[in-house]
Amino acid sequence: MNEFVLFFFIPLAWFVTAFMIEAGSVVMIPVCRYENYREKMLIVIGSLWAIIATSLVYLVVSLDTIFAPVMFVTGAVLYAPLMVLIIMLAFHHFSIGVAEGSSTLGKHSMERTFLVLALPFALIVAFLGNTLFTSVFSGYGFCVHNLLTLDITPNYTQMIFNAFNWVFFIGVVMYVVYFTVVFYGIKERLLVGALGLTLANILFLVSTHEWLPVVFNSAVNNAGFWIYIVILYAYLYIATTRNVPFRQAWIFLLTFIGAMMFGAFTQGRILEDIVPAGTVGPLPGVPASLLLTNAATLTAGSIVLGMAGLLVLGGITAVSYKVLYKVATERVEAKKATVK
Amino acid sequence: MSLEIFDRVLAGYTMGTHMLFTYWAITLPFFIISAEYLAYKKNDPYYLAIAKRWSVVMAVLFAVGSAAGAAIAVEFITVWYKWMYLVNQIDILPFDIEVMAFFAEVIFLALYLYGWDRMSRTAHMIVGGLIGLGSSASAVLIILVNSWMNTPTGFNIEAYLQSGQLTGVDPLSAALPIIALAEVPMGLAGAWFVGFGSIAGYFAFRKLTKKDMTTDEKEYYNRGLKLATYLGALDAIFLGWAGDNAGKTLYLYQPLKLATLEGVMQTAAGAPMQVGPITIPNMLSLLSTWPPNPHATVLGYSSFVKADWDPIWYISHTAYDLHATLGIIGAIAVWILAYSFWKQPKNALFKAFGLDNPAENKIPLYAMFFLGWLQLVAWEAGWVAAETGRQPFVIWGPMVQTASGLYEIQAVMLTADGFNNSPEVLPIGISIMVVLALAVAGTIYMLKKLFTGKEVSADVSSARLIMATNAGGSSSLNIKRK
Repeated sequence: MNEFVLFFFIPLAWFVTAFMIEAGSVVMIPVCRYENYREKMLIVIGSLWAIIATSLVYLVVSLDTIFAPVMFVTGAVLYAPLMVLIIMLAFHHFSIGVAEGSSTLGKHSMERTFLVLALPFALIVAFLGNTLFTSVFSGYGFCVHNLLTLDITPNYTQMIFNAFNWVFFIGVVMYVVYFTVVFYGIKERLLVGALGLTLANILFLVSTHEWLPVVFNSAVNNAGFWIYIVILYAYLYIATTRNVPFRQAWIFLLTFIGAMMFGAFTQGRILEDIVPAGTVGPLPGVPASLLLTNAATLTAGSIVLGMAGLLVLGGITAVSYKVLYKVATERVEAKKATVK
Repeated sequence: MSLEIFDRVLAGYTMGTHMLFTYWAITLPFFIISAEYLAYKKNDPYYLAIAKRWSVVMAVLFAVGSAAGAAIAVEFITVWYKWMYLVNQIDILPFDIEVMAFFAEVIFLALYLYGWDRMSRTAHMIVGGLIGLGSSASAVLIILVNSWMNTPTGFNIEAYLQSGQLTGVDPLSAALPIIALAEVPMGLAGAWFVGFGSIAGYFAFRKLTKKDMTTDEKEYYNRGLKLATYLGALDAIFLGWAGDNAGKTLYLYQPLKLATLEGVMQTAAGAPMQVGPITIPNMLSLLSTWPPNPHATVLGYSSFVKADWDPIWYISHTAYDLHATLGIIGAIAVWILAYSFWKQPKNALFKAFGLDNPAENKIPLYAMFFLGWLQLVAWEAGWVAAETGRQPFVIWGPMVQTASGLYEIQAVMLTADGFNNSPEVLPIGISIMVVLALAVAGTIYMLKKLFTGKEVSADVSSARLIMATNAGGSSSLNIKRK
């Protein structure tokens, strides 16, 4: 697999994982009793949502740098869901922002209202993101007139309403339930977490078996994949029954690894369901490496993006999150002490 | 409205909204750390209160500015994807570096907000300075891409124009186009000036409108007003040079754009400057050249093929005149006001205009209020002038002389070839515009709500306590009243 294509999965996996924290925190409202975990949820959202927003910037710029020709796809095919996604993201962040502001002002009912309001927008953003993702890898929604000249037009009905999109999305939602239970260490919902993980695994395997055979075959034939699944179950139990240091960081890392594994299992193929095997190589689909930017720009840009990834995402974000989280936790403790 | 026009309006609207917030991100960090520095140096709680209150403003405005920035990033890859393809192939490096600058801004902002009592004063101010460095670096990097659109470099342009093939790509060379020498200083100086100007305008507004001001409030607003005015006056020196430099650089490297901005229809030696109805002989030649030459030839539209004339040159020229006029008046006014704050002159002329005590007299306060906020109009007008002044090209090219003797621009891409002509762009684009308007309105509302009930006096008292504690718990507070 081309190393630049694999590299692209780093910002993609990062954003997906970071967004899961926010989406999962908002999902907590129906999954768990709100008041029990409100403080923790707000601390996390408050610490992270700006970093999540900037992760999206990193993802978009990485896409621009690594896959310049993909502009003809984003512009001619994917523009509608992309533009709608931005609108939904704006509403989502506005709701979160108002909720946080309300929390600062002590207006808790307004805070709860806006967090509940953020939930459908979070789900729509996740769904649109999933639609883009499944569409690119499967090809559903792409009407290819001439692949060589990237003469492609969209079919939005097919893009949104194909079975792969929905099955995979429900799998993602189930994983978010598992993720959230582990992230917050909610021992009362251990079984819900286990159910979520099991359903997620089933749905991911079924959907890739049906519609992304390259991914399915790569995964099931890889011992590391099965070890990873076992680790997820084991960590669910440990995180909800024991006091694990850096619990949240571990599930973040596990999810990030899982997303990267998915990327590796694609073997860099896209449009798998509309370009039969043998058209461009022995595997179905088209190698994404055909859409790479020219070598000079790619090399220079990748160095900078790599530095951004190492220095900023890995180092500074972790440090600042720890600082923000620590500070916010201290504030909560101080408030509790005052109330007592 | 045609889709081409709509796509341009959408991009202009989104960028214009983003611009409303970017200058705050670039200016506020420097204003805040200046206040923080003065607070510690003079043991003055009013400056500390300024720093703390305005850091909350900075955080809120940054969030909305980022949202608009994300919107324009997605519009680049959807609405203007044909243009973005070329940018990605040749000049993506500034965007890549900008990711780091943007991240640095976010992280240091978070550390600054939460680090008031958790790091040393010096470290805290350094962190604040790094926010400003990050936001200024972001601005410079984006302006570098804009500059590249005006004077593209870093690839074999002739080969591309002949065959459409991209060869000889050099991303490092593309990242530093020549016209950046004009655009970068102008962008930075302008951002700082509009920022300090509007901050001064705000403090002036409060002085004019707040009834029954307490002593603490008066001291607070006076200091904020003075600090913003001094910083604005300092930047106005840079701005004056940047504006002059921009004109001279355009004369050398983009004479057609200079002709558009200045409304020069006829090539002339000893070209006059036209500002509305006023004509100043030889002034344009004098200002555009170095060493100054009042008889220098300035190329007008008459020297260029008609296909290259900007079809909306009058919008660009009018916006440019507005931008320059407001900027020059603003700079002169802020210098006078800064001098008045510094010297408190008692002569009759200054007294007649209330300049013997500018913080307490209506004329200078109204001047600061109006001129301060009119800098926002100058800022937006400047960008309108620049972007409408680039038409009909979205990426320019070399200027060559044709067989007829006229010049033409061998454009890399016309605006008409860069837009997305899918009909769905219209309803979705309108939705984006509505959402951005709601975001701006919501932000203003949230800012108001955040500070309702949070009186200045309370923040000043809190600052006094902090300073007393840090001074060893002494109960007598050495406050210097201005």
